[in-house]
Amino acid sequence: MRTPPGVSEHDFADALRQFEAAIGKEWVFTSDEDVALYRDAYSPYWGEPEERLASAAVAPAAVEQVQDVVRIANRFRVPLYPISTGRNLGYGGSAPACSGSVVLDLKRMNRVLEVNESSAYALVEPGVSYFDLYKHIQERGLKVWLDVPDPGWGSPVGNSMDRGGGYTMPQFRHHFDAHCGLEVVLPNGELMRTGMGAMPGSKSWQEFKCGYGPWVDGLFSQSNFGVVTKMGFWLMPAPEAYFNATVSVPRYRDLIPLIEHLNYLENSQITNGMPELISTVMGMPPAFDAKPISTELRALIDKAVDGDASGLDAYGEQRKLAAWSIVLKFYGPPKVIATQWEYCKERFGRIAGATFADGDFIRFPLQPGQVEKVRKSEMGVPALSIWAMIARNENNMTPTYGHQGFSPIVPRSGEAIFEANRIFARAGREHGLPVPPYSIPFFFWQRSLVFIFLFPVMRDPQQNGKLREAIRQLVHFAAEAGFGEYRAAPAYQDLIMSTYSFNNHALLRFHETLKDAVDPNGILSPGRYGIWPKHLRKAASEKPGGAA
Amino acid sequence: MMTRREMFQVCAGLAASPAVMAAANATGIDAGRKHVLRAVLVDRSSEARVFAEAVRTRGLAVHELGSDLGDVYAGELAPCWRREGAAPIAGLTAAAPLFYLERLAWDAGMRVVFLGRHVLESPMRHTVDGPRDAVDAFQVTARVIDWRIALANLLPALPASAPTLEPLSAVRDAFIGEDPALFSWVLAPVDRASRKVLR
Repeated sequence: MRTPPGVSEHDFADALRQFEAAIGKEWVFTSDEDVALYRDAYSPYWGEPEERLASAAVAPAAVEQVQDVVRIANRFRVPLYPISTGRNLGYGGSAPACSGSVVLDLKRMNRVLEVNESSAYALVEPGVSYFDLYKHIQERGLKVWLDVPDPGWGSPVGNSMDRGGGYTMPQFRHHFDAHCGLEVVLPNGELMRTGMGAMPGSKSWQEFKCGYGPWVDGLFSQSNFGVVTKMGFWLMPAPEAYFNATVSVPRYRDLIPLIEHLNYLENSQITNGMPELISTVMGMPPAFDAKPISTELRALIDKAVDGDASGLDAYGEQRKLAAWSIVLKFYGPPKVIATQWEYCKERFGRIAGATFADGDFIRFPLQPGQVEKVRKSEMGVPALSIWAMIARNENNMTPTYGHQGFSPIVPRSGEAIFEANRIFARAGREHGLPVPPYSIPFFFWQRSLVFIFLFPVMRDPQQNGKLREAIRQLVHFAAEAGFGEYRAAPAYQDLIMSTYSFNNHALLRFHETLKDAVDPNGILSPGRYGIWPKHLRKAASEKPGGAA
Repeated sequence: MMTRREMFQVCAGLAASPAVMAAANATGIDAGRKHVLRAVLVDRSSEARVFAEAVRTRGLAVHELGSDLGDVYAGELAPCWRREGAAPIAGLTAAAPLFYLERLAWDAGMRVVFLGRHVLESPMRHTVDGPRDAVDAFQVTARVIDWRIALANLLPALPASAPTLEPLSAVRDAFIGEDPALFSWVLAPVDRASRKVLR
């Protein structure tokens, strides 16, 4: 059996016996067969010595059991790696950041504690999945919506702690931003509630985020300072209707005013769904549906990336293809939506040659049979359809074993999209990195853009080694341009944290100061997002991918 | 119980006498150890549709997977597992649905106990992994009757206490490859699997 770093076999056996006494023998998993379920199927180190592997797993059913497990772990200095459902494939799945950790699997803590329709909030445990919460709401006929990630099989708590995103209104799309109130088991086993929850008998835990004094909630996301056992979320009031419509502009550089107008309209909440950018002339529909492009078009795109878009503009004009289109989404009463769209047309109409097209109009609630025909993620309905895009299909005849994301944040401007493409496309051309000739960002976050590059993970260590090196280089090129990643798999967390290096890594040093203070034995998720406890810090700094 | 992995090829259009057909339709698996399949899932390929029809005639419920695996999971499987506890399911699908269904089924205490890879080329190539008698039965019958019918004969008769196979994520090297293939599979409850109490 694998043992945690620095823990003797004898002590580990003792710890496991105490875990069994605390939560029941059947919920302590030590067999190879059971522990194998916690491997990261998308690991870029699959089968290599650096692959992050658990030593065991424990699955408590209640907060008190979590506290017991944490206290036992402290006694033996056994590292724990909490997961909620462990399904964030591409970001580490259920495998720990530090090999030898015991996975603290919170799937059994799966109660929906409250959904308040009037105030539009929910309070849930970490093992509740989006499917579970959706079912709870539907069965009770509550008029509130979730904002779901895609795929929707993970948990609201886990996805929020990782700072995942969704597809509806901006105040709900950033899942951590939409939370309100945490209950946390601290590394010493003590139970703490944040925000208004810190007041015994508080009646507004899920209604006022900050409480009183320093607002510490952010410290528990993408970190290792506590085990979140309850989390509140603000939900979206079920809208009366949904509408989407497309604004198209003819020239490459029209992207600059297009994004400027969009920013005004979205920041003023005149359009309130997640916008979607498309380039018809470049053959780039949304997300993962891009088809191969011709050599002629590829050459024109390369020129545009390098600053000369005249050829691409002429190509588009001849074929009557728009350079850019923004699909706007609206939620609300039909009368309000109609007015909002009219104003959007007026605003975008200031761009010469802009054209407009109405899209889908949907009234809620959805009728039986209708839900299968809509884009579920935009309707707050959890789905697993995204896998169909990634699997073998006519555009992808060689499905892979998984993927790793490289997801830099860039400013919300046309200029930034041009600059990012110059950097990434050149990196592809000049350094042989696996990036497409042009990339279109997503609008998940309210005030920024995020590029999401998904690179294939295989089972060949040599190929995976090349992939890891490519991601390292892209992280480096992005950081030089001032673009940082918002989220990453454990294999890259140290690397990316090292790019947030203002004033001699003051932020990381602050994280480490906190870690040493609240978790002196370093038992919670060592290495998560680059935060290592003191006794493992030196080893981590000496390995290119962090301590494995 | 031992498991066995077999690879073999079958030429399409192989003729067989009625006597051979009758022998082939018998699975040769002890009838006292059968699973009760709660559902059989198929994708929309023509191969899977032939299999689905054969399964339906044997009285089993068949669900066709559309573009969203979540429909069958949330609409059929999760309620069934919540209501009745872990209950075995089988399917003939592409690799991706199986990969994700396997992970969802883990939480209900289930594991893959039978896995076949069927490469859709001529001659057909089959790689089958599972209980020895099931693998043997499939190997015999698929040589003399349509492999999809052979599979339909076999699935309802799989033993109830089959040993679990490695997670698909671990055996994908052997099973996925680059050839277009379909996968036959059975996910069944096992006592020692990680369990989640579904409400």
